[in-house]
Amino acid sequence: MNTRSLKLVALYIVLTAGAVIMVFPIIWTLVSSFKTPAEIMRIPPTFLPQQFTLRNFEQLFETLPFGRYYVNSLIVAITTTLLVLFTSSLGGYLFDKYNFLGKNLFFILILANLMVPFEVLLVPLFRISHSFGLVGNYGGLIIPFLVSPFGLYLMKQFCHEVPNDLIEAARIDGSSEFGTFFRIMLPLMKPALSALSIFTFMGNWNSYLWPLVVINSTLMRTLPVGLAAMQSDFGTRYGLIMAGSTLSIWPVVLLFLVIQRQFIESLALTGLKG
Amino acid sequence: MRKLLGLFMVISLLLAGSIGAYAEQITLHMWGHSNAFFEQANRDIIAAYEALNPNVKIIYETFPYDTFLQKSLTSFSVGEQPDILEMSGRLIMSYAKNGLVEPVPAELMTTEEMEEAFFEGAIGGYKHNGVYYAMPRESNFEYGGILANMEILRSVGVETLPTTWDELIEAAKKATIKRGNLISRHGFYLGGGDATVYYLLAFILQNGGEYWNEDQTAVNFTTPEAKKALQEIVNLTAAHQVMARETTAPTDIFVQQRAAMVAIGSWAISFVKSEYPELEIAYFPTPSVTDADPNYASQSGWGLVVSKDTPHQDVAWDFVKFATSTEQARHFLKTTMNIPPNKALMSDPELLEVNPYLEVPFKMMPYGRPLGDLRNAQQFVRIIMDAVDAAALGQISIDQALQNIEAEINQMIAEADGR
Amino acid sequence: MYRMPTLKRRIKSWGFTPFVAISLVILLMPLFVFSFWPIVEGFILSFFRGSSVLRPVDEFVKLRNYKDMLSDRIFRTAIVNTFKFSLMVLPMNILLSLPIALGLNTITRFREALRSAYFLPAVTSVVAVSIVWIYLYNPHVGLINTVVEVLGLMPQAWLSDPKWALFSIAVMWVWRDLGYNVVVFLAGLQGIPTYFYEAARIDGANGFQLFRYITVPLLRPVMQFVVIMTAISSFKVFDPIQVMTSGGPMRATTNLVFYVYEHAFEYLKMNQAAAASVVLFGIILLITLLQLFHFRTQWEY
Repeated sequence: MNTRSLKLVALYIVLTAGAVIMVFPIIWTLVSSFKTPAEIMRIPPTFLPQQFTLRNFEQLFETLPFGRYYVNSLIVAITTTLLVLFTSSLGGYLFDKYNFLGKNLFFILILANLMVPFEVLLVPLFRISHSFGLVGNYGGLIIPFLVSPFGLYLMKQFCHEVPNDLIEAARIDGSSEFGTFFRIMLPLMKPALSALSIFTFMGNWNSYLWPLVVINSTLMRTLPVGLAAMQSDFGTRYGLIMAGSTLSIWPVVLLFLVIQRQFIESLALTGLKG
Repeated sequence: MRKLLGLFMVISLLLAGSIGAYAEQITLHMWGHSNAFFEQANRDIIAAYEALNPNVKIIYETFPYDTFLQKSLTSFSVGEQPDILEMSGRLIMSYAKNGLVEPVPAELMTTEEMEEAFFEGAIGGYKHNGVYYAMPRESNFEYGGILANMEILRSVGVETLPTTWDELIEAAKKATIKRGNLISRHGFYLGGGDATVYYLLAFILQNGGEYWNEDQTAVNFTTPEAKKALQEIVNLTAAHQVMARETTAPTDIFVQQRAAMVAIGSWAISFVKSEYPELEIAYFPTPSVTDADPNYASQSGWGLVVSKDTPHQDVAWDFVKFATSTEQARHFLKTTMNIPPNKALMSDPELLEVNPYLEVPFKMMPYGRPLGDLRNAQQFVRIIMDAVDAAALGQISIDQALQNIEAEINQMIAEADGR
Repeated sequence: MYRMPTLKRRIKSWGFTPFVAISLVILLMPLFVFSFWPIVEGFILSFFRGSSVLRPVDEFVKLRNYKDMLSDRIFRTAIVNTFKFSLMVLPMNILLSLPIALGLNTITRFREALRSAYFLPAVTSVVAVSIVWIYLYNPHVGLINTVVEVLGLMPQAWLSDPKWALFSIAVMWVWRDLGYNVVVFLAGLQGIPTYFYEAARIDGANGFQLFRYITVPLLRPVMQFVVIMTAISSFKVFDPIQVMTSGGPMRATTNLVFYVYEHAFEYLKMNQAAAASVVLFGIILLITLLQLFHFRTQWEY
């Protein structure tokens, strides 16, 4: 073996070791969800369940309308992601490739939203959403988050990498401004859109405080809110928490890995054709 | 003719009945905290109430305790609060002072009737300007009981449960296991927010001291009695080294079998018994730290409140009265294993049969009294916790810790009273 | 008749073409309603005192809320902790995520799988993993002390020792947040056209030179994003603190957001909470502007 491939082997070893450390707590959650409460607490801790049980999952399904929670979460996360992908790429393009009066001020204003912790915004945001009739429905979970300052900023930074010549060329070819955005920019931002779609989807999937506050009825709850109701105030029911987070993470991770690439490809493709 | 008249009467009665029922159909909303036992009991009580009052429908929803604060406050901010709230004793006074909840109407129960029906310790924390703002569901019992792991105690040669403070410390020392600078098994664990605070206050009383001034407008923690009390708590970690503070909940420490004895309310027993049936447990009264009686001050526990500005307040209160009546309270307490607030249920044989551990609180309750008007219970507990932690870790002296507590609580009181 | 064309021309000269105008409306309208207005409301609240939590604008008290706060020992601790936390998280995160992304960009096989592995913690619910980490940090049964002992170091009471508590939460936060930056860096690296590297290699550049003269300058916009976003998120961390330590022991993990939460929802003191969040906002704004400025001046080279 030459030094180059040796280096490559070393790189793989280091990267894999790092990945194992990253994934360990989550794998541990997964295997623990098949243990009895007593085994989870056992000293010394066991890794693989010695007494395999589905009790935790049964208990979850007995008490919670899980299917409904999944559907609620999926509807909200998918809709929000699609909308955020659009507004973010549009905003990113606008703030990077255009010049207009007050651009920097507008940009700082948009970022300002990120600078206030959500806990602070909770009460005023709730009042405003209520006056728009957005309490207790899907709209309340989606509309306040139409524009993501994080996504917009991310896309702006990625637009920066797209050479201006390409846009000029399109303009000379007689493409409209919207046309340039859809046909030239969107396809070029594929890697960034892929990243952003994961971020937005996952962020939304795990979103907890706002859905809890804005939804009252048990049936309209999203997955994290439904799961949190399993926490009791006088002792941590580790078994249920492990099973619950397993159920909320794994199906969606697998689903996402499978559809994500096609999803981004098709998004870019429609951009190219349109 | 008579037949016709009869038919007419039947029809009109039916009509009137259905119209009447339709007109009076009332829907109430009730929010509680997530807790399997509470939820079960509440659903039963609601079903019983609805059966007696067919025109009333109660929609009951629960939310995790940690986020209950955010949930309820946001709903109040837009006037969408539920009619009835199941609320922790820590919050009720703050909500009453902010004008969010209704006082118990005299037509339902006068102040005298309240005091007649319920223990002083259970409702003391609901009282503001001589009026009560909630009906109690339980007696809070943060000081007063110790949960023991009998297997651990026997394994270190402790056969009988301690009856004096010295015996407790002695047994705890035997059961403690150290590992370097850490403690891997606590002999006697006192921690987890509330418990430490209530033990400190109880120790002050048992030493013959008092933390309030005469009219409860200021606290006094720089007394020799308070110094002895705090010293005793610091000793657990410093001199005796039978415990070290953890962030894990005391119940979790206990079920992990990392503590021989844990200071805990009897409510924890239902959780331990149902989730970890294999543990051999005992529950015994906390011995007094001095020769005096085991006097203690207690916070009011979970209660039911009715929100301001909701329609159907009369019906809401009617339900609350029903839910806290002796019979329904008994069912609630049997399910949740809590301690009765109703004097009528003191040493109730039915309750004792379901939950024999109740003997301990029943034995202790004569020594209890209400904490007093804390103004802001959350902040009160926070201030004491911070100072006790700092003293226990040796970061500040005992005197300094007590001075901090006194100054900060008095500032809080002055602010709350608008002085 | 005469004025309209000039106005139109002027608007155009300000850069507001129809595309720009329409896009700005689409983007700013929801933000104005759902984010600027709540922020402005908080700002107003901070100069008032209320008779009740529901009527927080009864009395105009000027700067009293701010003055009270400055004399509050816990507020000062919260400010120090907020900065300390960022100074722990930011370097740890960048110094780990950039090399990982560079490594992932070098390899071809298993890249997707490894990238997913690094991102996996970021898809978990913070509340659930915080509970898992409490267990990992447990001084007696926790895995972390086991590893620490194997390495021959002193086991610690990570979360209940005020010396270690904030750092312990910082490590957990880096673990959870790292994946975002790995993915962003990797997307940035993949966006660099390969012909730049090919051209440079033909000119005889070595690996380090490629990194220094192509990767670093072209990655600058992404770097700016990562630094600013990681800083902001570290200033705003709340969930793990609430779940793992509730701001303790001895206030060692009370940051500004926790301080705000405590005042707003536990003590029902909305005005003081608003004042504290205005301070937090000011700090984050200042630091973001400094970073934007810093990165901009670097671009001039």
